[in-house]
Amino acid sequence: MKLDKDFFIEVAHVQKFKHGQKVCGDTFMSMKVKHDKRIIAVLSDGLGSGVRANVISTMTATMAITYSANKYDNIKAAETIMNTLPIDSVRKISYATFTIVDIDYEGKCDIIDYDNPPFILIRDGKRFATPNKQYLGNITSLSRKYTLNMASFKLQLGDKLIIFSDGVNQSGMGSNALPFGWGVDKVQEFCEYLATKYPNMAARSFAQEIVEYANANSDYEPQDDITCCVINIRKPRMLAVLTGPPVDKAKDSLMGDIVRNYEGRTAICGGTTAKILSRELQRDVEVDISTLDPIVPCSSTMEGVDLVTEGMLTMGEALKHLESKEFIGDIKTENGATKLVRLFLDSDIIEFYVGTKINDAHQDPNMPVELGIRRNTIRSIAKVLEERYLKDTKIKFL
Amino acid sequence: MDKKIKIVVCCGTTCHLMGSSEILINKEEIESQFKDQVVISGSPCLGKCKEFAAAQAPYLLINDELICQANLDKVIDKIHQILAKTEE
Repeated sequence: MKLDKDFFIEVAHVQKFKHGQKVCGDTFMSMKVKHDKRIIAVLSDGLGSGVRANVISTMTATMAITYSANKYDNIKAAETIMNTLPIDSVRKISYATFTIVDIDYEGKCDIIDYDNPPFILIRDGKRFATPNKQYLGNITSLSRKYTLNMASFKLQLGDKLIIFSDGVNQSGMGSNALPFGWGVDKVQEFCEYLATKYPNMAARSFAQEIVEYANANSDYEPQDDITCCVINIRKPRMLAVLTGPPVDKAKDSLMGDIVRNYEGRTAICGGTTAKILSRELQRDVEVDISTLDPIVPCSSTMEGVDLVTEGMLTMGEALKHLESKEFIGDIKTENGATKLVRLFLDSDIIEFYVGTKINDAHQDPNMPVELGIRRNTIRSIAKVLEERYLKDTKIKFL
Repeated sequence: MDKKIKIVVCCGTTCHLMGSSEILINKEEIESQFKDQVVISGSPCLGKCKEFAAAQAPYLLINDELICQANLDKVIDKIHQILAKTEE
């Protein structure tokens, strides 16, 4: 999400299921509202755990995110959600917590919180107290009282906003070391420590650290679903991906210029592209045979370039990883595709420079595998990066 | 013999699909079988699939000589041939 060249909102979340559960009772959703220039993130924790909690929290998060995106009145939205949720047969209540974060491209941030642990805003390595308002509501039809916590403030460059479910601050509860759980204050201390020690840590890694700590508190058998979302405000990390030879040979030198002058990281996807750039930049490409993999061809190294991989197979595999439900941090294999995916996720603005020349050999019917058209694969990758990972992408065809 | 035999395996899309990794997987065995007289390395793409048919892949170079439809047997035969020549 780009505000201008120096201001970027990075959103990432990490979850750990309750021990023995196959689905998560917490739901995190985020959305870019492009026409309004806003970003919305919602965290909801359903009553109990397992499938029931998952259904309740998914419903809550979906409603909350849709209402927010359409600028529906917050209080009305909260009441509608509470009225709609199915009533638990044991506890006779309908219940899911939620936190809605609404940030516009200028950094103005509104947070509405119902029963989740308080959010933590870290500024200059310390917790920053924000002016909070409380709203006391009453739903007469359900004869229920509720409290909404609302905060409205302006985010600055370098801020980190941490939102988590009670699985984090209550982790380890009942154990000898932490009889009352980790506690919000300790979570805050840990966040301050992380932010001071690693000021440039990616949101995903930050959230991962917190979730791992909470997981360790409960002896790696969490008693509740653990979810942590981190929103980072910082300078964008740029990535240029060059793939495919240009149709017009005269544009080869243009690709060379891009790599030479790019302010950020660069990746080259494609054997022929690597050869062209090796010639243009007069730098050697060396294939790293240690990255041998049955599906993805070996990646290579080139001076001044962060990653050099083969083209279509690697990008196809990277797309599969990006689209799969599996959390990318859990993928242990090391090959060109996973390296490319990690590079994507550690960047904010990704610019694709796509050569559109078609390699006839790839379209040869004798080939054992059908290969896609580069343009289409890149479009799919850009789409999933925009929609699911909230990255900013640009595609330029050469 | 002071000059080593250089084998360059194409790691491009076409060659990978047609099985060029077979040679790379057996890199260490080949190199040790010929007592380090052979050096195997990779190339991002030799560009031969555009000149010839894709069905002729995988391609590789042995001392700059192009081998089509390369497989382990072909490579080992070729190395034997070169070694026999140099011994003569």
